[in-house]
Amino acid sequence: VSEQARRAAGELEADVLGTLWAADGPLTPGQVRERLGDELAYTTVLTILTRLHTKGAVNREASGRGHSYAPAFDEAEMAATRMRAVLDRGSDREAVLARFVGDLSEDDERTLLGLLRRTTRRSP
Amino acid sequence: MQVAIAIALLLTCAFGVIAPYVARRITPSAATWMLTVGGLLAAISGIGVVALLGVTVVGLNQELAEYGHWSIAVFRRDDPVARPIASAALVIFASLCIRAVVTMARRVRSLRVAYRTCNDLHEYGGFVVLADSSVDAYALPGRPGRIVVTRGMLQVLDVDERRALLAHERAHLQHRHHWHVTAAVVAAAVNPLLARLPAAMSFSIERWADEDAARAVPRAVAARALARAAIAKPGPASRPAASLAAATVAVAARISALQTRPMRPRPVLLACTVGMVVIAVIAMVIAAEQTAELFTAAMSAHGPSPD
Repeated sequence: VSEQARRAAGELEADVLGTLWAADGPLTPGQVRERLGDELAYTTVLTILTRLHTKGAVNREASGRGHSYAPAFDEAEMAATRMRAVLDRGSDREAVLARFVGDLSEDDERTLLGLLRRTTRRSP
Repeated sequence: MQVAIAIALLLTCAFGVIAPYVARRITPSAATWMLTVGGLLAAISGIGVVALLGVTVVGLNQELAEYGHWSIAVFRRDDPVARPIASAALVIFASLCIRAVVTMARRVRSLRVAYRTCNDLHEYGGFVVLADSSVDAYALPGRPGRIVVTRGMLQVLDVDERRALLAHERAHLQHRHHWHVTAAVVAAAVNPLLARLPAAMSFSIERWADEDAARAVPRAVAARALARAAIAKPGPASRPAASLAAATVAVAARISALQTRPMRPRPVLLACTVGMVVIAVIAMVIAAEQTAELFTAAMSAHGPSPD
């Protein structure tokens, strides 16, 4: 497997897992495919879901003729507890994280909403 | 000696003021390295100058003079630094050294905790999910580092925006941004004239990661991901208003930067800024040589040792 192919496979896994986490309940492979914009083949989505299930990243339950999939909460709950314990203990521990966005004030929300509107309009 | 010290101090001070502005006008990767290398050089020249200013106190000390076989009279006559200034410099030197050691120790401890935590967190698909409804995401440094994302964050972003987020956090880990931030924090601890360096560095690494994200997805999508995450994230009321405003300004600036074309490298501006601290270090070294000459003169004036 070439580096590029492996990377692409990793990104698809991330896409599928992200979709499952964003959903409110378990999703069938068809629903996952739909939320990913119908760009992938059904079998590709199914392969990724099966692989994630083998790794223990997702749980599956019988649904109609196939399965529906949901992310494994136990590990994510443990991770949340662990991170809270780490960050509660000192101000400098927060400083080693590279946060996506810092803490904002509500007053400036309007500025950002304006920017978001501009971005949304420009994007295809 | 006074001239060399004045030049070193002036240029170090100028770097501390100018570097954050220059950092916003060049490509973020160049800015990050400029702040790292320039910051460390400015820290060295700053602490060196303070040490040289304080050395008169050592030269005039009777017991040390006996031990080192030099003549105090030469320092009384030739030393260019006034006694009160020298004493103050020695106190400042000691406190800056303590400050630097404390800062470094605290940072190393925090990084060690982060490294250990990374090993405990299991990732799937390249990121660790926290079962948490708050909107948050960060890169946790380690070997390998981990991308940590809350469920709340995954829910406010769409597929493409999530790709932007992951590409952004991957960039932090891949380019080892935590070492750049550590360098800036330590440099500011050693040299208070560089107090604005850590904030400039934080902004610079975020911009670098944003630009990497903008290569994985269209620029507009990267900007949208940032804006959406920023709006969804509620500001905690407990934090002081000033820091909240700073974070907002930073996100707005990052979004604006993604909405315009990528920055140009501007090698001349970069060379001038780094050149300032290089000259500062050279001036400090010249001052150190002049001080060494003073000690040599004092030693020859002392004559042969009494035994």
